[in-house]
Amino acid sequence: MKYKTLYIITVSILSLGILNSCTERIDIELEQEYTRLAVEGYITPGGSTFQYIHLTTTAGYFSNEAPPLVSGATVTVEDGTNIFLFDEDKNYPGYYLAPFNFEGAIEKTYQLKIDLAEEIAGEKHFEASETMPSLSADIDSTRAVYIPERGRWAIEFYGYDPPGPNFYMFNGLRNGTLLTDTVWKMTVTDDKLFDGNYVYGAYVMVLDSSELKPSDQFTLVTSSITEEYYIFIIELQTEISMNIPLFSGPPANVSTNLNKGAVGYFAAFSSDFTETIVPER
Amino acid sequence: MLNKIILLILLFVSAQAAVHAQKGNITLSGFISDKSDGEHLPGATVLIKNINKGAASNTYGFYSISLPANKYQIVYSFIGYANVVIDMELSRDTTINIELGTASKRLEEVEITEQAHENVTSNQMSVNTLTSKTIQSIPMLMGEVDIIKALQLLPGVKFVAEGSSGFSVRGGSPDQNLVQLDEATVYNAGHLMGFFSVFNNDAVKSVQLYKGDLPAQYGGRLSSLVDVRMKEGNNKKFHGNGGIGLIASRLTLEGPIAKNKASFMVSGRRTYADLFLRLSKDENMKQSALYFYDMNAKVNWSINQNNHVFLSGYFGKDVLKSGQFNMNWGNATGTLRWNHIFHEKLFSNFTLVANRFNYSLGIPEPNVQAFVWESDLTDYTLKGDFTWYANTNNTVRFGISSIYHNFYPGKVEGLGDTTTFGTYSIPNNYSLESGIYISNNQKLGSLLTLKYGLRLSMFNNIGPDTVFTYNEFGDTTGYTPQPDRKIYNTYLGFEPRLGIVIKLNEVSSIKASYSRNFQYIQQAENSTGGSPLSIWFPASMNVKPQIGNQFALGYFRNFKKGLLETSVEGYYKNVKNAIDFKDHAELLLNKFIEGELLFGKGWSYGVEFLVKKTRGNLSGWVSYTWSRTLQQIEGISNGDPYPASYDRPHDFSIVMNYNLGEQISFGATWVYLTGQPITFPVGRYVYGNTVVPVYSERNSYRMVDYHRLDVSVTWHDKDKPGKKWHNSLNFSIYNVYNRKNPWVINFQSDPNDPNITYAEVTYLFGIIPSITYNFRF
Repeated sequence: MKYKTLYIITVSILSLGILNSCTERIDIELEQEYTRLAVEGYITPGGSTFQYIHLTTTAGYFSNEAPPLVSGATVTVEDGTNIFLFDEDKNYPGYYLAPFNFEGAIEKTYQLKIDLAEEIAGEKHFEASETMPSLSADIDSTRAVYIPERGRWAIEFYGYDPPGPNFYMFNGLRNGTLLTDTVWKMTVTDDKLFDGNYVYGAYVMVLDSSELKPSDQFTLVTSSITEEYYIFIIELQTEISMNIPLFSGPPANVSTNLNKGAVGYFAAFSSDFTETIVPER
Repeated sequence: MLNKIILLILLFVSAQAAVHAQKGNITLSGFISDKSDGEHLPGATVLIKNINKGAASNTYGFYSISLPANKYQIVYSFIGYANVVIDMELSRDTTINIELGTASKRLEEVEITEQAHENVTSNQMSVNTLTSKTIQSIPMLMGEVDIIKALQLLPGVKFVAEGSSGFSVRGGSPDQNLVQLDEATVYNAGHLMGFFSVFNNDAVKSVQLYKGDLPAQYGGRLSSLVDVRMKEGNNKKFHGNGGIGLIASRLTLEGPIAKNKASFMVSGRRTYADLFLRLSKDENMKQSALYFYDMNAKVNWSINQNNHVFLSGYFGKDVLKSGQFNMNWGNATGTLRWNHIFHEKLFSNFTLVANRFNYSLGIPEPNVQAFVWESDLTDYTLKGDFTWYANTNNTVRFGISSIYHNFYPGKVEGLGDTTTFGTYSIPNNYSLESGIYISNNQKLGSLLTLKYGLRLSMFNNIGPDTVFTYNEFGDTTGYTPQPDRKIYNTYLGFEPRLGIVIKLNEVSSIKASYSRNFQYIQQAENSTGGSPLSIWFPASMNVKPQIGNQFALGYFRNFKKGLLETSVEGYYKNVKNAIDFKDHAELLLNKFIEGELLFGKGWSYGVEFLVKKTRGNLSGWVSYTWSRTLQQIEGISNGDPYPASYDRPHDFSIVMNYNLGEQISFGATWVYLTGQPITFPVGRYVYGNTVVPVYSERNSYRMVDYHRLDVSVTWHDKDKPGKKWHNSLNFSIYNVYNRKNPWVINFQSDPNDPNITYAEVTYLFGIIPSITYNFRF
């Protein structure tokens, strides 16, 4: 909510023409040598397709191509009793997939261990750990509502938030296809403002009129995430959004649950799927 | 221990004073004011020619000087005013109230008579004074005369972001400036997101900036005191003035309530950009609003020679509406002062102040998302200040003050029956900030002046409160509730203020000073631009007071009988318990804000050069500052020193005003600053199909250098005797050569191909012409 508010304020000021401002692209020389391991990893109860560890290195900021992948690493995930080896995909090097007998479960703690074939920034062995939170919200339903003034669809959420701190991540599917395909589009929230309440139609997502059409089937994916992952997503969204000197703090690195200077996140969460048919405008 | 030291100093001061209290001395005292409107003149000088002793009037225009009974020639003078010379036999205590008349321009240039070189001889260094008239002659953004922007042109003072009312003094952060309007603290001096300051120049008499070397009377901030004094109001005739500008209109009325006894001043200002929005065809724009207004009022009453009462107030508000969203914030202050002269040698002033800064934002009902978010900070201050003009060589100042702070950091509440939002609030907290001080200004012979004083400050946290404990990562590990109305935590501050002036001759001197300041309350603000949403938080069991030490050394020299004032000042400052914020700190609506803090130290040093032409057709100043400001905070940049955001090594400003005859005047300013330090990405990775930047050390890059030229021309209609209504027209251009000064640099990725990234710079103000019509009657 905070960033949306600030965005509204800034846009108002700029649009009121108080500021005779303009924006243009510039060339800047940046340091290129900085390299670290970057990890994107997911453990879910959803079968092996959505359970993988993706390893790359960081690249120069203006490198303008996909980051260099890290191949040949030994990647394992321990759940306290068993050790699972995540094998590198032959067709997609740099992706290490969960074995077929592996399925994430709530309230289990997963320990990720990565052993690299070659050192990155002087390090070979990396670790991270994450506990999959239990599904918290008791969801009644979801609705898509058209807001004519803004020309956009608001996705409403109806359900109970149990007492105690909970953290949610919302994604959306249109006829089975992921709409929130980048971190920028997804929503994460804490329950500071509605802890223990019945949430009556709060907006959890706003979609463009081009993204959703009447009679589409819309699926709201509500995931219960850890506080650390919530903070990671919030920080990531902050760092990729426009910096406004009036409000923004100094740029800062996004947090991580990996050690030894690696960046990224090893996440474990479960999700609820709530469907609705998009009404006429 | 501290008590003993105070006692010792007290004894020393009184002993010194007593030694010099010779028999047969008489006291000459009184008020110095402006002949035309009765306004008291602070800083005017009295020179006793035969013995070459002098004194300056205080903030209320009062002076007092002790001297042996004799026949004297007494010269009263003030820059811009014709001298008044009195030959008089003084045989007993005498009161002379003097009214000075404005000097004609020609007289000013040619015939400069003797006058004390106050800037050279005064014991105060690192101080700059601007009069309302000087400020008015400086070209400004949108033609809106602005006190804070004028201060930013002084040596050692830098704006924190283009167009911002936030400013850094000698490398300190904006919250280290104590900004006072008639002694009431103004916590947020910005209107319209800080692009305009809250001070309406029409209502202001003078502004004084003390850069670190605060008089012992003041404390509580590390970097500076901005002392803004409102006009008292003309006590001779009813007058008005006003203006219509590009963004705002102003009107000020002043006049006597009882001639020469009591007067009033009332001044208002409002912007009207929002009125044009209503003409817009766009529905969203029609519903939008963005405006501010402010009101200043003052009443003063001279009950008799020994009693003067002043009541003044300020109220200002900003309103912003965009569609469903609305927001407003503002300051309010009220000051009641009573000057009482106990005795020709003992001047006192008692002050009662209430000031408030608050904001509120939200979406009103019946929207289902309706909510309101409020925050408020209110202070009540009581103080008594005394000046004892002990004898010709000693002036002792002492006093006591206490501020009761009421912090109400924030509360968010859902509105309506079906609201999703509950209530989330940060508990109020209360504290008391007190000070007691004594200082003496002592002349040793004709060449040496010493200033020594001590301020003892005390800060108390008062319950009810919940004090959290934090581990090394800033996570809470427990809490202790504190009972209602109980002082549960106390800090004491020992703040010496020392200075020496060595007069080399009549027109030059060397000055040195040392001062220590304690700061007990600070702003939770990590943006560079100064957001109206920021809150203040106090020292506490987890947050130690910030302590600043400043050493300064300067050489002052006047040329051509004070026509040209020049100075060079060097300083070194350090700050203990300096506060910065963690990466991605959550500073608003956070109960655990103390867990977001990082502590360390800061230091800055620099040299300031100033050449100022005080009178004549061409007036103004040229200043150059070279300075550095560094910080070292555990948890930022691997604990290595890094340049603070206000580290702008080279700072150059020229401020000029030229009168071409009686009717036309030109103004011009040019500023140059080294580019702002900034943090740039050194790498990137991809997460969730999104390119994420990886940053280097804090502030390891710089933006390109900043420079800008502003000009203005003002035309006044012809002045004829008996003419009542006067018009003037001001035409100004901001950023004449349309310099593209970066405001912010953003790193973006292409929406179509996230692998393509680029840097984007935003410039705020291009060339902006404006026109303002002013009148007075």
